[in-house]
Order: sequence, then C-alpha cells, then structure tokens
Amino acid sequence: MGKLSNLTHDETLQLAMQVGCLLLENGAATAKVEDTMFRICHYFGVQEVNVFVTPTFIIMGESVVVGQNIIRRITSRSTNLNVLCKINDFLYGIEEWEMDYNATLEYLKKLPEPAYSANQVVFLVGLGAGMFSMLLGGTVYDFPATFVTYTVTMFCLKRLKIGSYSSFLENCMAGTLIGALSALMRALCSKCNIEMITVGAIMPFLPGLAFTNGLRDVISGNLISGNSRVTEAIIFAVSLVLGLGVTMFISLRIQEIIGV
Amino acid sequence: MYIFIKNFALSFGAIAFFAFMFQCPKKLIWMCGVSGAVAWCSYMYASQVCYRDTGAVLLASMALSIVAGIFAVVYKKPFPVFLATGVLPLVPGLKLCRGVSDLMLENKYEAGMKTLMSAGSDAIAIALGVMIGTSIFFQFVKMKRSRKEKQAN
Repeated sequence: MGKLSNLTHDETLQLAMQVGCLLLENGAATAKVEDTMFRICHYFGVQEVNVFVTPTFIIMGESVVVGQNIIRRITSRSTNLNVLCKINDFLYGIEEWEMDYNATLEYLKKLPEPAYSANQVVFLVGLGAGMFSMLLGGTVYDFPATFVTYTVTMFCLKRLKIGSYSSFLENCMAGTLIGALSALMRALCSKCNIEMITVGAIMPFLPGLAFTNGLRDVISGNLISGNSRVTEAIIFAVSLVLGLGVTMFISLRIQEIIGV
Repeated sequence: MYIFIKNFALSFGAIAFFAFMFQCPKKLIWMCGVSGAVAWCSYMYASQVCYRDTGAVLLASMALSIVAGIFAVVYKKPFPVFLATGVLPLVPGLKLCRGVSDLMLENKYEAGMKTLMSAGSDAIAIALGVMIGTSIFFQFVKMKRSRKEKQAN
C-alpha cells in the first residue's frame, strides 16, 4: 500500500472533489467525472455518496440524513489533455502512490500549468491551420496566408483581452478578424482562395469536441449538463460565424465600391 | 494512390499540430495525428463509395472511435485524448462557412439553409458515430477480458 491509504472521511471527500473539478475544468465528459469521484470515494471506504455534475458546478454529498456536502463552482472550462493523462496515471497508480494527502493536493493544484508556452502553441497551431486549409482543397499559396491569418488573429485577441469579459464577444471578435484578414490576404495575392483561408483559420475556434461531448451526455442520460454543453457550443459557433459574416459582407461591399 | 498519401500526410500533420492546442503530452502527439488521419481518410473513402456526406461522417467517426479506443487500451491513456484531436477533421467547418456566406452575402437563403442544415446533421452524425463506435469497442474489450478471466479460472 502507498502513503495514500488511511484517509479520513473529510479528506476522502475533499480529494474526490479536487479530482472531479480538475477533470471537469479540463474537458472530460460528465459521466466520466461522476464515475471517477464515485470510485475514489468507494476506494477509501465512503460508500453512501451521491454526486451531481453539471458544467458549471459540482455537488457532492452523502445520502444519509446527517451528512456532509461539498459544492464547488466551476467558472472556466477548456481542454487540457495533459491534465487528463496525469490524473489517469494517478488513479491507476493510487495503490503505490508516493505522496501523502497534503502533498497530493498540492500536486493536483499545480497540474493545470501549461506544458507549452502560449507563443509556441500559436505558432504550431498556425502551421496546423495552414495544413488544414490545404487538406480541404486549398493550394500551396493558401498555406502561408492561413498561417499569417491565424497567428495575427491570436496575437490581436491576446492583446485585446476580451476573453476575460465574455467568451461570446471573444469568439465574435475572432470571426471578425479572420474575415478581415482573409480578405486582406486575397487582396495581396490573387492566387489565394478566401474560403479556404477562412476555413483553415476558423478551425481551431470551432467547438467540435464540446458539441460532440454534449450530445454524448444527452444520449447517455445526463440531460442537464448535455443540454447546457450543446447550447454553449451552438452559441459559440453562432458568434464566430456572426463575426465572420459581418466582415465578409463589409469586404465584399468595399470591393464593389473600389471596383476590384 | 498519390491523392491518398497526400491526404494522409496532410491530415496527419494538421492534427498533430492541432494537438498542441490541447496541451497534449509529447509522447502521444504521433498517435493523435494517426487517429486524425484515420478519421479523414475513412471519411474520404466512405464519401467516394456511398456518395452520402452525412453517412460518410457517421462511418468515419465510428472508425475513429474504434482506433481511439485501441490506442487508449494499448497506451493506457484516457480515451478523450485521441478522440478530441481525431474528431477535428470531421467538424463541418467548411459547410458552416459556405452556409453563412450564402446567407449573408449572396441572398441565397435556400442554399444557405440547406448547407447549414447539413452541417448540423454532420455534427449529430459525429456524436452518434462516436457513441456507436465506443459502445461496440468497449463491449468487445469487456468480452475479451471476461473470457480471459474464465480461462484463468
């Protein structure tokens, strides 16, 4: 047995809550979060536990008359596969875990630190976006155009910091910038295709995984979290497309007026 | 054959680079690229064979979830790691853009709504395909495990 064997009742609930929060904040499905929290509680001998997980908060409590409850509010959600992998390793190796309770909590709190720096990620994802536009039928000229469009868009978004006010506005702004920059690229090089550049650059913003996860939640019976995830994904896609449409409209009118 | 290799390489590269966005661990990036390439190539093949876009997406997402399940079992990592990255080439971004440009720029309401509807049905097809693929795969794994346990007993 490792050092994590004799946890008290409170510590077990606290640990399960911490792991559940981390999983939910980093892109795991609802059913998986509930299952993991149940397993941790059962492993440490707390049997009468119920968990209710939605994308914005987790309630965990004992199903006895005088029981303890924990509620955690979740404010930000993203996808961080590194955290999911680390937690997976932690759960599989819990029998030979080397840290005690406090050290484990510290370890879990430090997990969400990104493994790659922000600039690195923007550069690499920009390359991916360029490849994607070529994959969907673009030419070699679309590759650098898409790369520049994506990186400049991300640079502007980081500078503007709209995301801290509202993610809807941030997505709308991203769509607007992508539309404007792809029109600019088309004006600079006539061999580029606006559609391909737009699609390539918009791909990293599209909530594909969120929508899929939401529908899977609905199908597997977690109706509330599924509904809210699907709604969030649809609203994100609509905001992105709205911003895109506005600048596409404006750039087309400008082209008509100038007569290019 | 040339087209197939080109598509495989491009989708592999694109998805491997996109995996950095999700902070994927370095060891698994190759596998993420392979699952994305499998999704895209099976989508291409299926859309050439059966000529129906939504059905092709359904088949491709089933193939993707089976491949992701195999990777998850072999490398002992959580299943969403390979699914999250592999599903990206199937997301109907092109249809979304086309539908919006039809609706907002050219006043082609009928064509625009058609494209947007097909984008929505593609998204639902992805979710359904992933559900079906994962349930088939994990049922298979369960059967294998129980058979092994029986033999050991």
